[in-house]
Amino acid sequence: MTNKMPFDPFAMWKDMYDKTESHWSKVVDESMRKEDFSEWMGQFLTMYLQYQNMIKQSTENYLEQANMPSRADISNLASLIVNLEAKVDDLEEMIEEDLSHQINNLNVTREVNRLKTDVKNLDKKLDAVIDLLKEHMTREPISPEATEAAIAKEAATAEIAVAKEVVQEEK
Amino acid sequence: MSTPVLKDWEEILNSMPEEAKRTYRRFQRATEVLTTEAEPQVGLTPKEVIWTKNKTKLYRYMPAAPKQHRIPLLMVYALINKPYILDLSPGNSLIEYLVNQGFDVYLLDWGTPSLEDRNMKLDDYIMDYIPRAVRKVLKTSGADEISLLGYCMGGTMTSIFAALHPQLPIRNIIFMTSPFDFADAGLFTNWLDEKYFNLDKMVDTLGVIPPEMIDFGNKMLKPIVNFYGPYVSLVDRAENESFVNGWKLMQKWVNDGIPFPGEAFRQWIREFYQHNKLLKGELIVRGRPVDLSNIKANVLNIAAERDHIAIPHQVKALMNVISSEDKTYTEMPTGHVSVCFGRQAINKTYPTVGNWLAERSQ
Repeated sequence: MTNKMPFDPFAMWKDMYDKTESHWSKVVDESMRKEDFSEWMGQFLTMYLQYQNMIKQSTENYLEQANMPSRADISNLASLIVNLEAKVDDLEEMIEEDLSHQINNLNVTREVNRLKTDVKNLDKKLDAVIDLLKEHMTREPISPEATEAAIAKEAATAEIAVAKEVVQEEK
Repeated sequence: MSTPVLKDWEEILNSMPEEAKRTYRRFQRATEVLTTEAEPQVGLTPKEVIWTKNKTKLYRYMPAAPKQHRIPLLMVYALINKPYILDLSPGNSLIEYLVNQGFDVYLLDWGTPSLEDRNMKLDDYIMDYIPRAVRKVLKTSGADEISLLGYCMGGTMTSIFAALHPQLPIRNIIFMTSPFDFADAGLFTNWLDEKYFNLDKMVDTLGVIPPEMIDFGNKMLKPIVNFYGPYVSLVDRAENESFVNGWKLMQKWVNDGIPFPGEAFRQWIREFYQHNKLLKGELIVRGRPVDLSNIKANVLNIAAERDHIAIPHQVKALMNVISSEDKTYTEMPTGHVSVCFGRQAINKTYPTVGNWLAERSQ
């Protein structure tokens, strides 16, 4: 038996489509470009909308008489929820912004505190140095090694005191 | 176990010429595709939701590769479609491609509006939703600049957003088949003529515009090719599984629209299609005039040669009005949808977008 079909309806259909598609597309396109077509389309749409309106109104009337909510009622309820959600969203954003400002402010406060502590440390160190100098002026002369050791001891004591204060402040 | 009738039919089939058997198999496969097969799965690139508002969700896509580009990318698509056009299926997804290229990708999913959203205007989307999504992306990514990609109407909305927010750090904008000039929108200009198209009655009656109406309008631009052509192609190439998969994806996308919020539709048709206000500089959004010359970001503007929805001249018109120093216009050898998926999209669109963005995202 031969492998070819004597008559293939699909091949004929496909062939017809390929040959006529561009021609018919052009014809349809030309007719759709005419003002008459736009007018007809507009009339058709208006009729469809009138029909839709009639159905909608009669359904709403029926549902109202039956004391049942219509689609519009439910959508109005949904709309309230959407509005509420929008307000929550606004609040959320405001809080987020506020928090980010607060975090920025907190960082600034921390920097200022650190600076204050540094200045305080310096101040205390200077006081210690002045005290030592005064002491040195009133006392008999001592060896330079002993003076250095005394200054170092005083400074270390002052630093420990300051560190304790910093820990206290950070707590 | 075969019934006697089926057994007889199998015998008849075996005795038929080879050509007839092939034709029968093609019809059988096409019928299966149209009647019994499950719809293909779409939008499979892993993602997380980082923000929601009403029905809108903001997705962040999970990187499969380490992040290589500093500036995140936020994608915005049309109000009338589902977002998966940008992430159709593995190997056929712009988002997957960009994520694999090391971009930090975000997508604003508009969700499916319902009757309660009938009063939503374009103003709300442009002034409330997109700016907040941009801020969320910047915060999540930790970046100080952002890139935007708008597809179709999403690109038009992105251009308005960028023009109204010149203070935001927008480095790059990619527009994909987005119409800007509506003076000659092809057949839509005729059909939406104020003389015949009763826009107010339509919005007031329907509240939200059903997706079938929008789909019908789009298909009517090329009725024979869109209503009839797909089925001829399916039966003709039903034995090619790769073609069938692509066909199913395309049909799912085309037939899976979402309703258009009524007030946004009224604005879109009246102010864009009927009065062409955007390009004329007459569009007012929430009381503020939209001046496209405020756009200074780097711009890649992509049109599709065979696009009947956003005709290339409608897309190209943007180039003359923006102030960007770095701006590129290019046309892809595709249609409106196939700019995002299919062989040409993979070979041309994806690398064009990826390379352009990579150069400007460091």
